[in-house]
Amino acid sequence: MKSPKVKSPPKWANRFLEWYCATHLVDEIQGDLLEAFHYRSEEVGDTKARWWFVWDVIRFFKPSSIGKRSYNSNQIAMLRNYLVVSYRNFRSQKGYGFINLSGLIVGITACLLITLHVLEEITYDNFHPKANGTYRVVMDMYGQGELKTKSAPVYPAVGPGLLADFPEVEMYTRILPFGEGVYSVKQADGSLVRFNESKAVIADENFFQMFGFMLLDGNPEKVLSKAQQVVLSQTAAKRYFGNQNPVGEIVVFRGTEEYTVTGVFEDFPKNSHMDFELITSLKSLDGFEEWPSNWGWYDFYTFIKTSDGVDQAFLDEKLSTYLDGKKAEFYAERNVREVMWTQKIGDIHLHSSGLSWDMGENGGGEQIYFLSVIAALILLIAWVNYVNLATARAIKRAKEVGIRKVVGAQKSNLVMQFLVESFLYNAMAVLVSLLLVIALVPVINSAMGLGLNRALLYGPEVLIGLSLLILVGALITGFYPAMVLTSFKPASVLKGQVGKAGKKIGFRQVLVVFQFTASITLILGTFLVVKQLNYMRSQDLGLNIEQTLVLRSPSSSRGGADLNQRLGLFRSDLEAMPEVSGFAISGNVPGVENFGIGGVTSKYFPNEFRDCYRVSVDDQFMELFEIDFIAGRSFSADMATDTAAVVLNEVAMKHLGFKSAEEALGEKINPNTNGERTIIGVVKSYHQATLKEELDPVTFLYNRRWGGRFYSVKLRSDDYAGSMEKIEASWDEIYPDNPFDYFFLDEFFDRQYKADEQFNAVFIGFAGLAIFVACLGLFGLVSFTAEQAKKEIGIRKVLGASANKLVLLLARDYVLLILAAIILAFPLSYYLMREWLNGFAYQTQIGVDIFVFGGMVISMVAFVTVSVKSYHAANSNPIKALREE
Amino acid sequence: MNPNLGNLEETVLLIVAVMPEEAYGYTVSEEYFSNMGSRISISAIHTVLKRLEKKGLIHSEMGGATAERGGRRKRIFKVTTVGMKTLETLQENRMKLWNMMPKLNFSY
Repeated sequence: MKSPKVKSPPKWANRFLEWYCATHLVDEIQGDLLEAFHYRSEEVGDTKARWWFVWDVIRFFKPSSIGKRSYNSNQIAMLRNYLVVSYRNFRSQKGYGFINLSGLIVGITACLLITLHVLEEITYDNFHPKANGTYRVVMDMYGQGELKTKSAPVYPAVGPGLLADFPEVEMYTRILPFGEGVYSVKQADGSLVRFNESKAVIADENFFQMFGFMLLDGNPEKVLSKAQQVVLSQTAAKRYFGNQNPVGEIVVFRGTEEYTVTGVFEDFPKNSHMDFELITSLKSLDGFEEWPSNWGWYDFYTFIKTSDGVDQAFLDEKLSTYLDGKKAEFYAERNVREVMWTQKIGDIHLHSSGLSWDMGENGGGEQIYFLSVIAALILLIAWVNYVNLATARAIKRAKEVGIRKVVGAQKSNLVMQFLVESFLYNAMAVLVSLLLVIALVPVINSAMGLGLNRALLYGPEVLIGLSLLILVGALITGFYPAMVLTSFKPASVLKGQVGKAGKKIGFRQVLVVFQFTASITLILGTFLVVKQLNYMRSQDLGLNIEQTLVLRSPSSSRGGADLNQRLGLFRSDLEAMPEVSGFAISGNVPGVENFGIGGVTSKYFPNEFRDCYRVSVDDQFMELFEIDFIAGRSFSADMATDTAAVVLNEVAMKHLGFKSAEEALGEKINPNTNGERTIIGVVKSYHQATLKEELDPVTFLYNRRWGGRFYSVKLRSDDYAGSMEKIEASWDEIYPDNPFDYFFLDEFFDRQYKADEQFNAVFIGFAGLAIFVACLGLFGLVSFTAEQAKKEIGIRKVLGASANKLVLLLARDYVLLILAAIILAFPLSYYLMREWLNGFAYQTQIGVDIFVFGGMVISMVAFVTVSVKSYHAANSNPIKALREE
Repeated sequence: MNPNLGNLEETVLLIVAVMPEEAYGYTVSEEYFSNMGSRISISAIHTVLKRLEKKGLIHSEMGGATAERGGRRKRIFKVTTVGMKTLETLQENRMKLWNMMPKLNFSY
């Protein structure tokens, strides 16, 4: 028989009671409390009684019930003495204490801020159910044995195929990024609410079961289960329906498709790599029934969830050959291969660099790496500071130590004392830093356009981390000074023989060199980061994007013919305006990632498909953007044959095997196939994206002035507002059902550098902090040297030394240290800079200038720091120094 | 004899005096609650008992252990003769004062 469950009070409270309670009192106190608990738990219930018990235990925690510990009470007294002495020391030497504390505070604050950012970045997508078993399937595409492209989206057949063939795959969800376009809602008064949506996608019906996004309204299993269904984000719902309930209402897509709103979801959290506002059901698309056998169209982001305990390496292993079984013939015929692999959903945000056609702003793992290094460096510098100053000051405290030793302090007591002191400093610094971070985060967020989230600070991990930080900090910073201090021989200390000039200061010098090596590395890094960004911005893009207004083409209409007719009207309207000097239609504009890619053959590669991007342009495009022709001509509206013509960029020309532009002219691409086109021109390659990316091979195809995602308008006048007004008026007249959605191309292009700019700002800020902290340390050290050499300086002065000479005398030691730091830092930073630059396709020269400037800056800063203090010392009245003995 | 007896001390002393069963921390606290209608913590009761013992008004000895107490013994308190006398004196003094209270007169 089972005995009735014995109720017991919280173990920890009971143990705590036993720990503090005096042995002669434990019977009555614990007995009474246990008895009280016993009866109370029957009376008021278990939970309440437990709380009551805890409360009583706390009430009993007072001097009268606390017994003597196993160690003698002398130790408590000593501990108290350590605290008092630390406090007195801080008070009696405020300057020193302040320098030391502020160094720690700055260091820890910087470290915390960076940690906050890093935490945010590494906790991306952690809110999905079973995030650890949720993967995105991506693939590497090989041609002729070399890796051509890494593609984030895969084929529509992959999801269903994996579900059927892999027992460990439990579900899949596909997302097709093709929901872009004009959505409109008809108001009661007949007017249209219309918006051009770019955050719109099409997804499988189990979208809300796969991901942890919250549906506010609607059944997660049904909202996307039928054709013509759409789910809106809260923000989007508000945009179209105000405060009305949108569920059941109709939204019109591109003027023709009618979708029923089936649900509303909470806006996606910031730490999601996906960012959608409208999600349409996959079944709304024609032909979706055939997708399970479609192994050719790779635009589907495919997510799978696996059963518990499935190893990712195992999964990747199985996936790597999966497509061979499905597309063997195709691969053999074209000499290509595709290898699928998986990314944990939480890894997508940081570890997707190199993947083409990705969703959202991913990648940046390197930045996180560099930032973490900086955080660690700053923290180390701050700690080193403490060690340095505490050791330097040791000489001052040598007498205290001597007395303590004489009256019987053991070495362990002294070590304890200095550890307690460093613990106090570290704890204090961490607390102040925490408050600073909480206060600073909103300021930093608004100043640098970041989205740091304070709430992350309150997690248990961070609190544990902070406690560890205090402990480790106390140990690291307290240990060496404690060792130095306790090693003094009391007799010689009390005779005043410690700390005379010329005595061992080796370790301290090493620390200063370390600090400055780190600071110099950061300074050089700062120069490089700025230089690289300037370099990328000042580089010729290969085309002119100034004064160019880009309109997103209308998508809402009564059909293709209607759109074409209206485009004709709009175009002639604009061309008639004196403010407009050009109008071009194209499938893409610079600054927007090219999407269309396809295999192209040539006479040099008759059987090999060479990947080239496809951009459709009209006859005005090249002229409007001032793209240079190396040979040949642009498309012409007068040449009927130009629909079968192609213009290559230089990279594509070489990619297809042609030796020169002249040679390529008149040749064909895709000879003897349906896609055969005659090369009529070769243009200089221009930068589609930032200079982080390589130039891609591009084939330009002729678009006879219809379709096209973008209309580019070159403005002649500087009166942007006036021109815009006229253009918008014309648009509204011709496209009342489409929103006027535009951007200025130069600004738009520059936005791609936003992340780099932020990185810049962050980097500069933290490098500045590191240098500040290092200088604090230097300042403190010089102060102590000056203090020590007070009498020497006094005597020298009396004997006629000039102040300048004295400054030099004091600064000499430090000049050597800084020089050593510079010599160490240069190769180290050169290596790190190379690493960082490797992330860019177009790299600036690291150059001598960076080193020269960096060396100069650090020398200046260090020299000013040293000389301020030593100048002060050298100019003080020698009598003051010499009077007392 | 120590005439300085606080209000709470007096009450607790009285409770110890009148309690039919063993008086120790927990029972005194329960008795206090059932008679006075409000609670004070066991820790406070302990303090008061200790103070009373110091003043010589009660004395204590260790009693038996029970299972509810987790095997811990009780410290059982009894009122000393001094304690009893103090209570009586207090009561007498108080009665004297009460007797001096002017009788309520409804006749005017």
